[in-house]
Amino acid sequence: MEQKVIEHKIRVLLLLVVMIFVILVSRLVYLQVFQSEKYRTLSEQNRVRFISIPAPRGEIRDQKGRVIVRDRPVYVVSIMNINEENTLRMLDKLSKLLQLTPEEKEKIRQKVLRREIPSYEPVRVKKDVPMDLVTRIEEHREELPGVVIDVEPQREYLYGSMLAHVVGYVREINEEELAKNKDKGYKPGDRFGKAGLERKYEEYLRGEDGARQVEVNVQGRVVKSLGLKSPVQGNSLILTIDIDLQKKAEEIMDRTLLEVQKEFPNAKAGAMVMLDVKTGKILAMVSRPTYDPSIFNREITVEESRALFSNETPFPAFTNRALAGYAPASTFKMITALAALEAGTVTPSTVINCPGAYRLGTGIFKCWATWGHGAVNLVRALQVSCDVYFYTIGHRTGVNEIARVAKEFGLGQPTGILPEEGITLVPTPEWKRKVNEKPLKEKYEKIYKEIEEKYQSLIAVASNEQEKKQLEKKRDQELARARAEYNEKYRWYVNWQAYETINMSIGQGDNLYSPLQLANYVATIANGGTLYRPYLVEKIVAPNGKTVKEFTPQVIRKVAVKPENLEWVKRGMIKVTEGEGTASSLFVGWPIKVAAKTGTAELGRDPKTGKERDNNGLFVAFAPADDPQVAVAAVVEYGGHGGSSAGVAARDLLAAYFGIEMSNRGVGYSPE
Amino acid sequence: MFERRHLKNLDFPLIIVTILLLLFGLVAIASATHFTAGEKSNAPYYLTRQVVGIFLGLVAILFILRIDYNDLAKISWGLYGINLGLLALVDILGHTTLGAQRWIKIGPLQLQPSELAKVLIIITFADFLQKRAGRLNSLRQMLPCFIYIAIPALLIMKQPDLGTTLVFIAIMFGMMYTAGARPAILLSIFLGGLALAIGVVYGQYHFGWKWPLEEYQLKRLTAFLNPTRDPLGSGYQVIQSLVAIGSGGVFGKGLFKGTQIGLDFLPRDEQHTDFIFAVLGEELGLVGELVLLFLFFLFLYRCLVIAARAKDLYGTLLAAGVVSMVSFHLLVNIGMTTGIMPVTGIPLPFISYGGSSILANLAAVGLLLNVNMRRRKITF
Repeated sequence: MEQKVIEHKIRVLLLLVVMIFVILVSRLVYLQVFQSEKYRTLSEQNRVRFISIPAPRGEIRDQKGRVIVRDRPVYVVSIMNINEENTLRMLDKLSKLLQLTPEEKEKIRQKVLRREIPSYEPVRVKKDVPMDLVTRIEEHREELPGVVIDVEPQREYLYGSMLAHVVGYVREINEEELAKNKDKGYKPGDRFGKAGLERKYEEYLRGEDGARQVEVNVQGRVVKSLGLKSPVQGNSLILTIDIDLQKKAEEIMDRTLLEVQKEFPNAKAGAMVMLDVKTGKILAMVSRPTYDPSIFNREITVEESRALFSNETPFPAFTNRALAGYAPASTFKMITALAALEAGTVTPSTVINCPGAYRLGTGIFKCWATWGHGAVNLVRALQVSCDVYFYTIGHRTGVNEIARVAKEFGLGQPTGILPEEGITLVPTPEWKRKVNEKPLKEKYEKIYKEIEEKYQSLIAVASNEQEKKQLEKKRDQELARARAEYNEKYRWYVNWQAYETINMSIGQGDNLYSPLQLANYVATIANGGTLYRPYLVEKIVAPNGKTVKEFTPQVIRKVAVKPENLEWVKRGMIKVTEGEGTASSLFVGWPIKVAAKTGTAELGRDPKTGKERDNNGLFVAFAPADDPQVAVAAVVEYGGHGGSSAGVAARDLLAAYFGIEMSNRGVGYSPE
Repeated sequence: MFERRHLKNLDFPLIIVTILLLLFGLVAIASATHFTAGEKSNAPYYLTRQVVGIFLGLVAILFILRIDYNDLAKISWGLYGINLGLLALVDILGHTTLGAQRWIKIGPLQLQPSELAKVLIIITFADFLQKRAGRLNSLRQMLPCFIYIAIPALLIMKQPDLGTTLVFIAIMFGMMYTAGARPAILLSIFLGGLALAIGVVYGQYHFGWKWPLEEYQLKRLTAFLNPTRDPLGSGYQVIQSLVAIGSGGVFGKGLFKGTQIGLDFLPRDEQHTDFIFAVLGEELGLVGELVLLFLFFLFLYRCLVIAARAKDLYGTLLAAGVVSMVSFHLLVNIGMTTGIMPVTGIPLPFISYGGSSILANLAAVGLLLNVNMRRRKITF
């Protein structure tokens, strides 16, 4: 290329560069000469402020759209913390107007004195101030410089403690949560779901805070708004729960507990779940004792905290007992039956004689009917809940097959529906080994070492050869003794024992399942072998009504059990509510057939007091037996017999669901 | 290779301007990292690291001066390959900051390949173009050039680093124009691309298209049009930057006395990097900024002089590439801090904190010095 051409092009480039500079310089002159005054005012300390406008959280509604939890605007009184002297003077005035307790006042005073609040942020004095006090403050505006009244959303629970364990609660975000969710735009003082659905669906419920950038005068009063971003309400949850049914379930549980307490005064806790067997939808879920989530709108007291969370109280109210692990007792027997049928160790027509006890080696395992059931087959064994029958088939079938079928039906498998899920467990030989082997080994290794060390020091100071030999011999003897002890203990504590299979067959031993798992397992029997994933939230909807997320029934698996075997077990469960069945008295005169199973879990002695404890009552059922719609599981802690405690609650809930007249209900007692 | 006569031909004005710019930058970093909010100053930490960056840059200059820049043309395909490799490496083992993968960690050093990529692309593209000089008259003939740039540009876009991608495009236009590509075609492509980009952003903004930009990118890109729409989010930096510069006025609030910085209104991690110009604007005012802009102008002017008197087209193209790169950086960086350009996050050359950026820019200076040393013997 010619030099002239190049130089022409360079000149054009130079022109472009000059243009860029002209643009930038004119912009700078505009900003710094002509607009400078405006920006200088804006930048003056404390003049420009962002005021965050907290977004309302989404609502929680029942399946028909009725609101259970929502946000309500409340008044918050704060003081602009511009100078400490004024802030403290205003605090004095306000504490009289708002009738603060001395402690409340002192707490805020300390916060100001310790400068925990940045100088451009308001100091909160009181939340949820009633309207008349707000008007009073407004009237005295002139004497209260720096005092501001804001409106803020707060959680409101329209049905009080109803469904508390499911909806959970919200509280101010703590430092740990803040650090974990840093990139999600949380800031100190924000609300955060701490439990239940509020926690599980926090990201959907929270909404997007808005903000105002404002110019304020020295007194902290807004002079001019510079920009506004409206808050966006969070999405709402539509539950699978029906409020009407839930309300009844809660009443039924309270009533049943009061009734049972007449005979068993410790019957203060329990839980109940009802599922749609064709979808896995949870229709009602109750846990007792319960609490009022609205207490978390303020600071909770030490006593409240203890009653909710402390392990030292007998029945911490926060625990969702519908998701806590319980020994299932006889409600487990369908699993044992299915395992035996699948393994072919028994057929439906196999007859086993129950003389009132089962003998294995030197061990004797009693049937609850100590007088014996005589000759029983599978259906009758379920009907009368014959323990000897299940001991026998359980022992024949073996722990592995029983555990396999239990897991097949979702037992011991976390459901993930809420963050607060208790520990559940299908005991197996591997589990037992894993839990016990290492601690035992470590314990004995320590013992061996102690013996060695003890003799080493003795031998070191031994006076002659003979004494030394003697000590060595003694040491070897002691070591051999310890080793023998270890082997014995290993056999007992680490290896699975036959008696454990036998205990497991009737749902005792280390079995631990939640009422929800029990309800779901029975639902799977009811619907012919489809295990659904239980769920609580039907859909999530945006404030404009659009569906954000929809949850549909999810099949976890078709259980690997022959349909005819399920039919036999169903037949047994139907018999439970008929004739000599353990729950027959509960369903006298019912227009629909109910299939059920009672369970009474023995708890043994209280490790603290050494006293024999009352049994836990359990009950599972599905109905109608010929075309199952719902399954229910209930537990009453220390409620005695399953049929007369949990059974009554479950029966009444079924009656409520099917609209059955309650006038001719049975007595609710069976002698299991 | 390195002859005495070459040393005599070193362009001292360029060297002096560069040194002044670097000093300006160090002062700015000191101020931006010196907090008045009662905390310990972080300035020594950042200054030390920046000085290390400058030192590495000087080493790079000495290294570059030792070789004849024409030798670089011989290995241009190799350099192009290394360039792509480094960029691909970021995707594989990149270090994420603020949601974008831009860094590769090598021991205590963090390398930002997209910064070096700019200089490497100037070196290799210059060779690519000099071989096609005189054959850039139709769209068909230009197409290989576009593909040549598009490959690394897409890799950078993927990180995602929109700002640097745009720098590539600016370099491409500047160098192709200088290499003799038909201005009418270049201009129509430029205007067409601009219209398309505006159309896409408009479509995403008004019709809720989900592609090709992520929501946060769109928010950042459009925040400058109306920062008060989202004063806490995407508009925050722009508002605060405008307040900082505007309140600086003609003479500024004085070095180390800026309140926007002292009170952390401007995000801390951007005070000394992308938004450093706002710090200068607040503290040194219009006067200080005009001095800085004057230095930049001198720098670019020297580059153009070198471009004009280079002994061959390759040298001219190298210089033109550096001019395109630096002037586009100025336009976008200062434009974004003053609210006339979208926030794309590219540094202010020689001033912003960042070792990779300093190293790359000084390497570019080395190239220019090299071209100038070996210029033809003519005088204007």
